[in-house]
Amino acid sequence: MSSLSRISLAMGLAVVIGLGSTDFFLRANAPLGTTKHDIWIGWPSLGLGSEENTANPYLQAHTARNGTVPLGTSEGILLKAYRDSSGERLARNCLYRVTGDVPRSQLWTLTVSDDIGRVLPNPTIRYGIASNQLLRTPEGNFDIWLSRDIQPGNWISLGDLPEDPYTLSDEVPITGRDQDQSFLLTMRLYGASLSSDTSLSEVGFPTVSKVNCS
Amino acid sequence: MTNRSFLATFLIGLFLAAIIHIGILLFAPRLSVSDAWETLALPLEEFVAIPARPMMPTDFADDPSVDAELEEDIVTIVPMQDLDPQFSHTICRFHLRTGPVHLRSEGLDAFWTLNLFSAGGISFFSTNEQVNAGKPMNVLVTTPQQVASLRANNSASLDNLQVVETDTEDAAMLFRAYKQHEKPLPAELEKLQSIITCAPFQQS
Repeated sequence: MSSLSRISLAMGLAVVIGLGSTDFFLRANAPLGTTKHDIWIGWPSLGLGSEENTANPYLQAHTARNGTVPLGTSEGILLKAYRDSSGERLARNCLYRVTGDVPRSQLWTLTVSDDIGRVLPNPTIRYGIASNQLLRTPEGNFDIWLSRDIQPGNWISLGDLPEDPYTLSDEVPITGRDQDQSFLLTMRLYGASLSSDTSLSEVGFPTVSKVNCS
Repeated sequence: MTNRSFLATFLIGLFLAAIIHIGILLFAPRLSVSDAWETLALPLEEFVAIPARPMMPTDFADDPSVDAELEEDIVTIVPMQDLDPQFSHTICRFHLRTGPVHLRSEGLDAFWTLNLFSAGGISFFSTNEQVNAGKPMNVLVTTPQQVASLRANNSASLDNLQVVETDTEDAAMLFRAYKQHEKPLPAELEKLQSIITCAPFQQS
């Protein structure tokens, strides 16, 4: 092998691995200071104060790249689920049941969106549910149903026809009942501080079970 | 090619990859044009509380500013990543060059949280209603020098204020308030805007 091809091999490796690994760590769902509880993935360290962030160039670059203002340490914790409890990708044409324990917080919300965080337009103009809106059993348990079609009880719509008044532009097509669209489930635990994150591992998290698909 | 020279080539490649990796990491915050500060806070007029909302399907996720322009004629609402649709949001950019800044909420009967961030979207202070014992937001953002001179002159004016000291001159707040009742977004946000103060501090 000539020295020229050796140099190009080294350069090629450098570019592919260098760029690839950087992109991997800066993506929105990068495993960066990640905490994982069953299907729920959290990034508690993203909301840390400036001193901690300055000390970690990965977190700084990640926040900058993704254009977010993460929940601050005293605001709460954000957790995302891309998969149901059996490990399958969440799909909008299915009916899911969310039930179980939720870590202690002052208020929590469960919201649905597409994979990049955009709400799913639907006639109810509701994109999630909050802990104080839930219908509960006398024991305090709850079921939340996720589906396109309306369900009795606690229901979050997985999106439907563009009757949402805030879909402002006519130029952007709103896809209808595509069969294979995935979605993202986000749980925000307000007032659950980072210091209590260690205790997060001791409490239960909601399970998301698929009931059926259309 | 011998195994040895292949290994050497591979190691050199890895070494260069590491340099590229570290280089991009260190420069990303400085070069990024998509961070929350560049796309959201910087275009805003200072000391004006603007409603923010979650991303909609009409938003271009890669470039939120495109959508901001698109909506300009209708109402100024800033689309932001990762906002909770169950909450109303207000964003306000401010600076401390002319003195401390007063952030206040009035007549808001809802759970709220506050995040103060500087360039790059880096949070330097956050709090919530419960930490504040259920009281409204009443925060004074100030440099250490400014608060020292305030205390020297008239400490009474700082009563009931939560004082946040920072060396950051340019910053922004993101105020999140829980929507008690489901209402169409603009009405809720306009209401929110009318009850949020984000202004230079006036000594009483």
